[in-house]
Amino acid sequence: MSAPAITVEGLGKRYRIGTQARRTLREAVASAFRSRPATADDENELWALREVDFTVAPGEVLGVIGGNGAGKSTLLKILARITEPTCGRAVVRGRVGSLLEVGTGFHAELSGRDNIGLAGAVLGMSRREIAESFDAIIAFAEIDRFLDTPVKHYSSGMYMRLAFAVAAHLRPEILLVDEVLAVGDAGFQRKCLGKMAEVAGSGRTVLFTSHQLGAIRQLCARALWLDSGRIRQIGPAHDVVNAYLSSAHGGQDLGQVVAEANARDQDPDFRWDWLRVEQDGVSSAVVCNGSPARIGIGFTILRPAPDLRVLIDVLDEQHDLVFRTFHDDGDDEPGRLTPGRYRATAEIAADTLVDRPHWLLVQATIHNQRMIGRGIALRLDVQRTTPVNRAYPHEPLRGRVLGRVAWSLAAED
Amino acid sequence: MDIRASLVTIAVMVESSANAHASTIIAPSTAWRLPDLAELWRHRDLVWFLARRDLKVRYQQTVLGVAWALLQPLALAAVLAVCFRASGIAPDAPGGVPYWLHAWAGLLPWLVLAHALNHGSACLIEHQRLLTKVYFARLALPLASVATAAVDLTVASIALIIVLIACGHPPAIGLLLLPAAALLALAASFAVTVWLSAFNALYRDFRFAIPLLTQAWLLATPLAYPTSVIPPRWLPVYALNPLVGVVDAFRWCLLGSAPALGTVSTAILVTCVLLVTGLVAFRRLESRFADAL
Repeated sequence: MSAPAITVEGLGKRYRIGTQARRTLREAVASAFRSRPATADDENELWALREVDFTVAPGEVLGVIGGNGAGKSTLLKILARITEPTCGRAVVRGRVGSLLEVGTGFHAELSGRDNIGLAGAVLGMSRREIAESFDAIIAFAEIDRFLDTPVKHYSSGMYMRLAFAVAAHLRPEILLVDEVLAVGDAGFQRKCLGKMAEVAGSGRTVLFTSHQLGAIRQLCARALWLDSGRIRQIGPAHDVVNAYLSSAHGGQDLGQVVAEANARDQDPDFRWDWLRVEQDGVSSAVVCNGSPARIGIGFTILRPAPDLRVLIDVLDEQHDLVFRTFHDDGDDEPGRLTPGRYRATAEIAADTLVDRPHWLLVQATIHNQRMIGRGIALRLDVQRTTPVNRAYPHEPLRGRVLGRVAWSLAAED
Repeated sequence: MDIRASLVTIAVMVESSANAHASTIIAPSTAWRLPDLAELWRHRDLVWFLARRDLKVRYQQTVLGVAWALLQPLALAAVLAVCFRASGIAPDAPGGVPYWLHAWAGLLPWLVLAHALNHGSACLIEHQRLLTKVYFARLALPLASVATAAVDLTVASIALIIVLIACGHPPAIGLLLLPAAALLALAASFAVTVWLSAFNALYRDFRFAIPLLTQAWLLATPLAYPTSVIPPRWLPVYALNPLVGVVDAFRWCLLGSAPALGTVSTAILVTCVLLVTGLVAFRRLESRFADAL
C-alpha cells in the first residue's frame, strides 16, 4: 500500500467578509504591533472550509460536489497553493497541476503560438515539455490555420479549445480541475470529458469539481460532498451523488419547495404532496437527453374538482415557453376528480430537449376559472447524450427543441 | 547584461535543495523566512515567457518598436540639456564630456528604476487573474518585470557606447565593469519592485504614494548634475539613495569619471539590505495576495 497522494487533516479556511476584507494600511500598522488574538467567530468571519479530513490514493479520481459556496473552490485553491489554509494541513505527494479556469495566462495581443508557450509555462510546464506537446496541443485545439493570429481575433470556441488543449497536455502527477467543463458548447464539453477520462485512466490522481453530476458519476470512483465548508459525505461516487441529489435538488430541496408552494398558495380544493424528477430510476436535477425523464407529481384533491388540470410548462433559460403539456392531453373530454390523493407521471421523451438549462413550472388550473396558485418552479439541466449530429460534434444544437425528423437521402440516377 | 546570469548564481546557491516534486506540506505559514529560491529556479521558463510577452506586447503595436528604448533616455537627456545646461544652472560635466552625454549615462540606470516604480510596482495587480487561479513562484512576476527593463537597458547601453565612440569619447577599460554596474542597477530595481509590488497588492494606498516617490527619487538622483556638487559632509546621507552610487558607477564605466568608491560601496550595501528585507517581506505577505486581490 503506497502513501496517499493527498492527505488532508483538519483543514480550515477563514475569510473576513464585508468591509473587513481589505484592510487599510492604518489598521495593518496598528495590528502589526499587537499579538494576533485567537479570535472567536463573529459576523465578519466566514469559514469557507472547516475541519476537512480525507485522503486520496495515487491514481484515484475524486469528485468534489456541493452547492454554491460549499467550499469546493476553496479546497482546490488550498491544494493548488493559491491560497493558504487558516488551520490544519495538507500533504501532497507529487507534482501538482491545477486547472481552475480555462484560459489562465492567455494574453489577447499574442498569437496562438505564443500563448501556448505562455499558458504552458504558467501552468508549470518547462519549455522542453511545451515544445514536445506542441503538435498534440494544436491537433487537439484544431487551430493550425490560426496559429499566428492574435487570440483576440479568435472565436470564443477556438479560444476555449486552445486554452483547454494546453491544460489537457499538462503532465502532472496530481491534477486539480475546477468546473472547467461548465464553459463552451456541448461538443467542446464532450471532448473535454473524453480527455478527462483519458487522464483519469492514465493512473494520475485527479480532484475534480463540477455541477455536472453526470460527469462526476461517469469519471469518478469516489466523491466528496461538501456542505457549508464541512464534509457531509465521502464514498462511492454513485452513492454520494444520489444522496446529494435527494437532499438538495440542484440546490433546491423538493420537499421544502412543495411546502413553500402550499403555504404561499393555500387553496380550498387542491394541495401539492410531493414532486420528483428522475431519470433511469435516479432522482436528479440533471438529465440527459439520451433517455426519457420522468416528472412525478403527487397531489391531493380536497373537494370535487371538475375541469382540474395539472400542467407542466417547460421554459428555457430566458423563461420563454418551450412547450406546455397537460395531464389530460390524451383524453377525449374533461375529467372530474373526486377527493383523494393522486399521482401523476409525465414522461418527456428522450430526444425532446436540447442540452441547455431549463425550468420546469409545475402548475394546476381549473379550466376557465383560475390557476391554483403560482405553481412550482424547478431547475432542470439537460445534457447531450442523444446521438444527434455525430458527424459535426462541435456544432451546438440550435433551436429550442430537438426536431425528430426522419431524413432520407438517395442518389438519383 | 542578462538576468539569467544572476539566476544561475541563485541556482548554484540552492542546488542542494533542488529535488523537485517530492512532497509538499501545505499549512499556515508562520515564520519569517527567505522565499523558496529553488522553486523560483524551477519556474525560470515562466520568467522567460512573461518577459518575452511583455516585450512583444509592448513593441508589437508601437510604430517605433524597440527604438523607444533609445528614444526615452535620449529625449530625457535633451530635456535636461535644454533646461539645465542651456540656462546655465548645471555646472560643466567633469572630464570634458559634453553635458548631454553625461546626462544620458546617468539616465540609463534611472530608467531601470523608473520602470520598477511605474510598472514593476503594479506587476502583481496586473496579474490578478493569474495569482488567483494558478500557483507559481510569485517572485516570477517581479523578476520578469525587471528582466524586461534589463533588455531595454542593454539596448540603450549599446547605443550610448556607439554614440560615445562616434563623438570621440570612447569608453576606457572601465567599460569592462559595466555589467557589474548594470547588475547593481537591476538588483536595486528588483528590490524596489519586490517591496512595492507586495504592498501595492495588499494596500491600495500605495497607488497614490508611488508617483510622489518617483518624483522625489528623480530629484534626489544626480541626473541633471554631477555628484560632485553635493557638499562632502552631506554625501554619506545623500549616498543612502542607492541610485547615487549606481549612477556614479555607470558614469565611471562609460565616461571614465573619477571612481566613486564611497557612493558605490554604500549603494551595494543599501541594495543588499533592501533586497534581503524585501524578499523576506514578500515571502511573508505572498500568502495573502490571492485573498486580497
